[in-house]
Order: sequence, then structure tokens, then C-alpha cells
Amino acid sequence: MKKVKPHSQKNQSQYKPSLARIIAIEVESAVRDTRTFTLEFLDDAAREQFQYLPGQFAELSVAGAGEAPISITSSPTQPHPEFCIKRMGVVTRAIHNLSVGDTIGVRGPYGNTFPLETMEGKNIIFVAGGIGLAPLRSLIIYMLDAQHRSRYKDITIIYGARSPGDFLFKRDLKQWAQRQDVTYHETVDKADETYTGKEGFVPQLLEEVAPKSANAIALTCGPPIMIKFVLQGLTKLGFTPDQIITTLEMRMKCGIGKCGRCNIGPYYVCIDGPVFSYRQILGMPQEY
Amino acid sequence: MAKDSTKHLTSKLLPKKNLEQFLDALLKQYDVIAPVEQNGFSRYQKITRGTECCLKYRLPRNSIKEFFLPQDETLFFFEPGAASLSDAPSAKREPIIFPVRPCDVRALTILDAVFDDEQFSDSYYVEKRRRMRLIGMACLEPDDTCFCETFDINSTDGTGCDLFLTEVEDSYIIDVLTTKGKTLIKTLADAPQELIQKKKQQVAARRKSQSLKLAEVQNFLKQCFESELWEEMAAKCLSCGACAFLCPTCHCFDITDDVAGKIGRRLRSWDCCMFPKFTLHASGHNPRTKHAQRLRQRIMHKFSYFPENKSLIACVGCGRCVVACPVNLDIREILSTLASSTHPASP
Repeated sequence: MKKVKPHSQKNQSQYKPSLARIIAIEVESAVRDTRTFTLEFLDDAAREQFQYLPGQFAELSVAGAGEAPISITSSPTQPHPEFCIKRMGVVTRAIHNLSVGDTIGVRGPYGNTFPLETMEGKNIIFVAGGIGLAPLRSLIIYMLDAQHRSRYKDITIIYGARSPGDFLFKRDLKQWAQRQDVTYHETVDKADETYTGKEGFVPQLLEEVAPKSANAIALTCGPPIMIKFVLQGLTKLGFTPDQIITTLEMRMKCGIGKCGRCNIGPYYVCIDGPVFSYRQILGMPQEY
Repeated sequence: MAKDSTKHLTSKLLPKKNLEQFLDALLKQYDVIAPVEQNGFSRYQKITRGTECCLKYRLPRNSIKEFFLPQDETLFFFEPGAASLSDAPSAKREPIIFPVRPCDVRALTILDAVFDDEQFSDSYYVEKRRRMRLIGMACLEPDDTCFCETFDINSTDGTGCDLFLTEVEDSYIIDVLTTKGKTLIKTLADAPQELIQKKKQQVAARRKSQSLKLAEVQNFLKQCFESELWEEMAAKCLSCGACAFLCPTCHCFDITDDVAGKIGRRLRSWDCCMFPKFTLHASGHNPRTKHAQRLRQRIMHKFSYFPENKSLIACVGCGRCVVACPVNLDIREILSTLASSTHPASP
């Protein structure tokens, strides 16, 4: 995983956020209280500075409530950064209370990126569960963009949610399902009367779809229990630990490798991650 | 750290009886931070008069880190609801710390590796570090809890200081090590050759602090991650964090917002990997719920992970944690116990 060289910010406060305006709020899932916020920086310098790639995150803050690390769910090929946020703690609750037009603090982008160059010329398999799609969506949109699509071979997306109401990014899902150059599969843990698709857990669907491991990279993101079984499933399908990419979540504060919170073994998830290969994860203490 | 990288400019003489006067002179121009006697110990704090400085105790209870990474620090101000941020005002007078022991100076190089690294330089820390003048003092006689020798710290070497004092009879010989230091001792006379010779003899004959035989500490700790000893050793740990707060190299912090009326501040304040909520996710998941896991994290970070990343052991053997622990956990014993569990032959 490549470390991203930050822009020179030597004499600048690393902790002072740039300010951005919320220009759109999309309710992704009413069941899970998950919304996507589209932001626009108040000044040009901040917009210029916020050059990100899929996999990275930012520290979002509401003055008075505090900061939280949130993965960037948009692709740099899109005009504005987007963040998909589930109402969970103090900060995310404060963000959910904001409306279009309100200001929000943004620090970043931080962290490494998905291994974009390593993935070139390969078949790509996405395996996502629930809000785990948020960081992967950035990469999916990036790869499907006209200027990048030819660099990657077959793209397969396997996505699962607890219930039909839990699917996020429905507008994207519809589009991916319709595209000729994407193989899209979805499942729900538990169906309801309106749902006609597949029922079952993501690892089962993975087993059914059985993507080939030759010349492929699999990326997985989702709840820990799902990841555990997806890793087993991928291994059974012949994927080596180097061919499997995931992201780790740890509590974070500074985002720049100082505050010590996200330390696992010799790694700091905020600067050495959040993207890790399964090979790297196998070599670190099981403390995540 | 290079043993003899100190550029020695000249040596001055300060009779001990003139110390207060010397500090009073510094106070005219600088903020002076010095040990002040409390109830049976001393504490580094800002002094207003030379007489407040107390050298009765070798190491003040607190380390000097709080003058570079304050326990609470305002990162910036904001007005709740308003879309603007303003910087915290910076101190006007330049500060001096007197006296700093070589272990604490080494601790600063460890903090430098964190806060002034290539990728992200922390302007709050770096600015304080740049402004600070350090007047060091040699340790000729270690305390029982000192173990700086373990980490190859020469307690009579002033590397990293602007001035460095060594006690000789009823005077201090002041080695002037930087041009910044030179400006502080303009009025002092040169030290006589005879005393300089005596200083050399004393330094050569000094009683060294104890040294733990910790050959390849990083390697034996790697074998210890799954050890059952962690549970045993942590059984009495209260997770109070005294060790980390007094440690000169522990630097974990939290970032929170504080609002009082119309004034809001984003604060950074000390935190500690020994606290149960340190790694608590918003989801409720917590990767380190047990004392043993957290004690292991603190030890592994100092002696295995940090050295792997920065080529420095993040402990300087000052012994503050040994003195302060309310249940007598002793980091020296923890290390020797782990070392002997992997190499039964060599303690």
C-alpha cells in the first residue's frame, strides 16, 4: 500500500480544519440513519489542497461537538467530496443535525489509498456489506469512470445488506446492475414482502458467484463478522493474502500518526492504513 | 545518539551561592521553568524568583514534556455557530528550563521523532521546541530508580542542551554548547583550569545508574505478545495512567471541543493507552478491553513498535513511573520478567 505524500504544510496548523458548506444531503437508509453529505469548500485554496484518491479519509468536525474520521465515499472523478455517515456517536449525531447550507470542518485527506497501480490489468472483485460499501464506492466509481475503466479488466460487485431498507447508494446500485461492463450481485440477510432478490449472507453469495482468483484482486469491507467469513471464502477460492485488500477501523483522533490511538503493532491505521492487504493483517497483532 | 557530538564552545564558572542571582538575571528576559519544592517532592513550573528553585530532588515528579506538549492545549478558538476559527495567542517571552537531566533531554529526541517527522510536522510542538532553551545538569550520583544506562544515556553528557552544568565542589562548571546558550552567561567568568580538570575526574569516576541487561529487547518482546505473563503482571494494574502522564516520552493525546458561552476551543489533552476507553469505537467495539492488553500495548509500543518505526527505544530510564505507580508495578521488573521468560539463561 503506497503512502501518500502530503502537500507541504510545514508551517501550518495540522489541526485546524478547512471549512466547507454542505450542498446536498441524501438519506441513504432511514432504517440505519445513514446519510450522504456532499461538501463544497468555502475557499479555493482548501479545495486545491484536498486532492484525494480512493481509500483515504478525512476528519470531519462540527464546532462544539468535535471531530471524527470518516472515509471519503466519492471518487476524485466527481466534482465534490461526499461522505456517507451513519448516526453513531456524538460527532456523527451533530453532523446529522446539520442542514444544507451549514458549515462543517474538514481536515485531510489522510491515510493511504487502495493500490491503484497494482490493480491495473486485473479482474477486480468487490465484496461489501452494509456501510462497508462507503469506502469501496469511491474506488468503484473511480474505476468505472471513462478515463480509468480500460485499465481494469472484469469488475464484479457483491453487495449485501441486513434488509432491503439497508441498501445504501441505491442510485449507484441500479446503475451498476445495468452496466454491461460490471457484474453485479446483491443479497439481503432477511428479505421482506417487497423484495424479490436473493436472501442470504454475503459469504454465501460469494461462494455461489465463485470469482476466479487468477489475475484478480478482491477488496472487502463490512462488519467484522462478515469480513472474517469472506476472507475464509476468498482463501478457499484460491486468493492469496496478497490478492485480498481490506480496510481497518480503529478509533482515531489526529489522523496524522501522532496521537497513538490507532496503533496496532508497528502500524498506525491513520497513516499506514486504512487500506491493508490480508498479508499485512496476518502479520499484525489481532487487536482491531 | 552520538556520544560526543556536543560542540563545546567554552566553560564558565558559577559559584553555587550565586545560583539564585543567576536565575533572577535570566528572569528579567525569559520565562524560567525550574523545580519548585512541594510536599516532599519537586515539580517543574514557572518561577518568578530565583529562590523558588529547589535542587534537593534529582528529578522533579513531572517531566518537561508538558512545556512542549501541554496537558491541555488550545489548538484554536471558534465561536459556536459562526463559520470562523482563530489561532490561540502564542507566548511572548522565550522560555528556559533549568535544570534538565540527560534522560529528559533524550526524551525530547523521542518526542521530536513523533512530532517533527518528515511526513507531518506538528507546528504546535515544533514552535515550542524551537523557542525553548535548555540548561542541562549532569547526574554524578543516580537515584535508586534511575536506569538510563540501559539506553546508553551518558548522564554527564550535555548533548542537546544549550548550557550544561556539572557540580564541582561548591560551584557549577557551565559548558557552553550553543550560541543560544552563550547569550545566557555573558556576565560569568571563565572556569579555572584546575576545576575543569577536577570535573573531568569526577565525570570519569561517576557512579553510573543501573543498567538492565536487555540485549535485543525488541526481539524478545516480539516473542512475548501471547505470553501469559501479561495477565499476571497486569493483575494489580489500576489503569490509572499515572505512569503515562509522568512519563517524559508518552505522548498519546485526545482532541475534544470545549464550549463556555460564546467561546469555543478545540483542545488537545493528554490521554493514555492504559485507559479503558482509549480505543473504544463509536460502535461500542473495543479492541483492548483488558488491563493485560493495555499494559502490553504500553510496553510493546515503547520497546518494540516505536523502535521498529523510529529506531529509538521510547523509554529513557528516568524511573518516574516506578516511583509513582500506586500498586508498585515496576517497568524494570516487567522487562526482566519477560526477558527471562524467553531467555531463561540470561536475566
